[in-house]
Parts: sequence; structure tokens; C-alpha cells
Amino acid sequence: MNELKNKIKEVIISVLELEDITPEDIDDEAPLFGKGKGLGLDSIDALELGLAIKDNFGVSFTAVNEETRKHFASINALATYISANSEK
Amino acid sequence: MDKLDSKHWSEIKEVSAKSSWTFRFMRFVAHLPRPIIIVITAVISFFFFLGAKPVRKNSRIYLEKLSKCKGTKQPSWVDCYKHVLCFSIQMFEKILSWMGKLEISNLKKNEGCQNLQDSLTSGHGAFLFCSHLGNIDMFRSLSDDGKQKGIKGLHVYPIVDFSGTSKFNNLLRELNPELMDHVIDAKNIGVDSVIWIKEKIDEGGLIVIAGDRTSPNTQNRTLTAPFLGEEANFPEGAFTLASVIGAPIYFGFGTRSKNFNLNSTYEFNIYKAKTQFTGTRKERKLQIRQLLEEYIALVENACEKHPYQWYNFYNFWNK
Repeated sequence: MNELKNKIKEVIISVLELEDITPEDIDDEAPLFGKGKGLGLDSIDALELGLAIKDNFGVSFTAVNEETRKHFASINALATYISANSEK
Repeated sequence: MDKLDSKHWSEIKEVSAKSSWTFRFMRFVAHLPRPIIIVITAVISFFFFLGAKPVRKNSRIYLEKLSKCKGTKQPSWVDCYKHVLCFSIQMFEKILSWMGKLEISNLKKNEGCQNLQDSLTSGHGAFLFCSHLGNIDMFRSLSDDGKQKGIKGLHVYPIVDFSGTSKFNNLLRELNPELMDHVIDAKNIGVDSVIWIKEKIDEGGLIVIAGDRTSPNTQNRTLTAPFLGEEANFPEGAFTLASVIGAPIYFGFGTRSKNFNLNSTYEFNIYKAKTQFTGTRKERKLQIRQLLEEYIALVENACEKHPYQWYNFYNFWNK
């Protein structure tokens, strides 16, 4: 699980070209999006991140709703979802 | 200055009509013979035109910029009225097309349109930028859903911002509930929707998005570029989405050949984007701007050909 979390962090850092941030700097529980604590990603970062997650981890959805959004709340939530649903 | 002038388009609620009662009436009128629809529309639009000062003003701002670019004479109030009338007729056009009553028998397609159709028929999905010029909904007729001679099995997924037009959209939903299922709510686009959109493109679907409305959620994420001679804002999200999704990008406009006739022929003009997305994130920023410039040049060109069919009745150049 920790390995997966690290992989996710590396993907985030590389796709968004976040300079001066290492995987260790990203808190597993902190929100990825929105202002305040955490990475503070915005809706446009989300476009790029979504595709990178799909490409790297083979995540897919049949529908989009409030529930699916929750899987992207934090590194922990994302890792849990990917490990349960990944095609790869 | 009117208060309305400085508002973002999404804050102007249903400029076109004020109550759902109005839409009931429109639904009734839509059943009448087409020339009578035009006459009724002309009368109602005239009173609306007299009463809606901000609409008159914003129409004039647009027409003045356009005539300056074209080097033609400055618009009079008659031109502004024609502009409003064209918009009203377009609302009936939408209702008729959602009822499946609009037969686009006499459709003039350009080469790009045929290319897009061929590519979609062979199962390759695409991303299409439209604008609030002419009738956006006509692109639905490319698919089979509209009971037109469309491409079998093609799914069209418009990304729509419902801000300010929920009542009109409720009416359209009543007319054809199935069509609404394919609509993606622009306000709710997030990290998961991108994955979903990409899947639809991989399945051969056509994603349609307007490139001329900035999002109310991300008013700070806009691209600024000259449009008809003066700086205006464009949605960064829509152009970024196109850049990351990795599908062929097209620009398209569907316009009535005759401004004031519901039996008019229609023109479908589609152009494939020349911009290629390669390289790093920084390089992509420049390519996104290139894509925007391609889009703007085509919209300007279409505005010159169909000045009254551009339906952004707020101050487009407001910063």
C-alpha cells in the first residue's frame, strides 16, 4: 500500500511538474484539492491529474457522481480506490 | 453603467424569458405553422427589445466592434432588434429540433464536416469546440438520437453550463428526456469526469464544448485574447481539457442560411485544429494559446458572415 501511495505521489509531482516538492512532503490524509492545507490543486490541475491516474493505474468509471469524486479526496482515498479497482 | 453590464454571464438569470409560464407558451407556439411562429416571435421580441436595456446595450457593443472590424457602417437600433429576433427564433429552432420536428433536409456541409463524420463513423472519437453562434444543438443531428440521418451508434456528449438557463433546459428535458442523459454538467467537471470523458472518446464518442463562456467556478482561470479587436476572456478549462484529452480537435459552427426563416437551409462548417500538443507542460501552455487563437479567428470569421447569429447577450469584453 505504501508503495502504491508513493507511486501516486510521484505521478502527481511529475504530471503537474510540481517543483520543490518530494513525495515525502505530501501528507497521505491531506486534501488534494481546494484551498487551505494540502496541495491546493485547482479544477484545471484536476483535468491533467485525472488522465494521468487513468493512464498509470487503469482506473475507470461507468458514471460520474458525488461518490466518484470522494475517491480523489486524498492520497489515502485514492490508494484505497486504485488497489480495489485497478485493471492493471 | 447598468448593473447588468458588469455581471458575469452566469449571474444574469434567464435573460431570454422570465418564467416557466413563458416556456409553456413557447411550447404551444411551436406547434403552429412556421411563418406564424416567426410573426409571433417578431412581435414578442420587439417588446422584449424595448424593455431589456442591457440586452440592447450589449448587442450594440458587439455589433459596433464587428462593424469596426469589417469596416462597415455603425449599427442602428434596427440591427440590434434583428440580433435579438434572431436569438428568439433560435429558441424555437431548439424546441423544434428537440421535438424531432426540424428536418435538416437541405444541409450544406463543408469538407471538414465530412472528414469529422468519416472519422467518427470509423470509430474514432473527437473533441469539438463550438460557440454560442448559430444553433449548437444542431450538432446533435450528427448522431442518431435526433431521429435525423445521423451516424449510426454515434454518441454526442455536450459539456453544458446550466447557469442561468435552468428553466429553458427543463423544458428541453421534458421534450426529450433521453437526450439530456448525455449532457455533462460543466459546473461539475472534475478529476473523475476527465477519466469518464476520455473513456467516451475512446469508445468513439464526440465531446462538444463551447469555447466562448468562462466558468463561474473558475473566473480566475481564464485566457485573455483579442476578439473583434479588443481583449476578452475565454475559458482556460475548456482549452486545457482539449489539450490533455489526446483526441483530434475540431471547431464547428451550425448556422441558418436565412436569418429570419425557420425553413431555411443550414450550414455546417467544421474545421480541424492545426495545433498539435506535444512536449512539456510549459510548451503546452503556448500550444493552448495557439489553439485559442485558431478558434477565435474562426469565430470572428463566422460572426462576419452571420452577424445576428452570435448569442452572447452580456458584455463579452467585460474584464
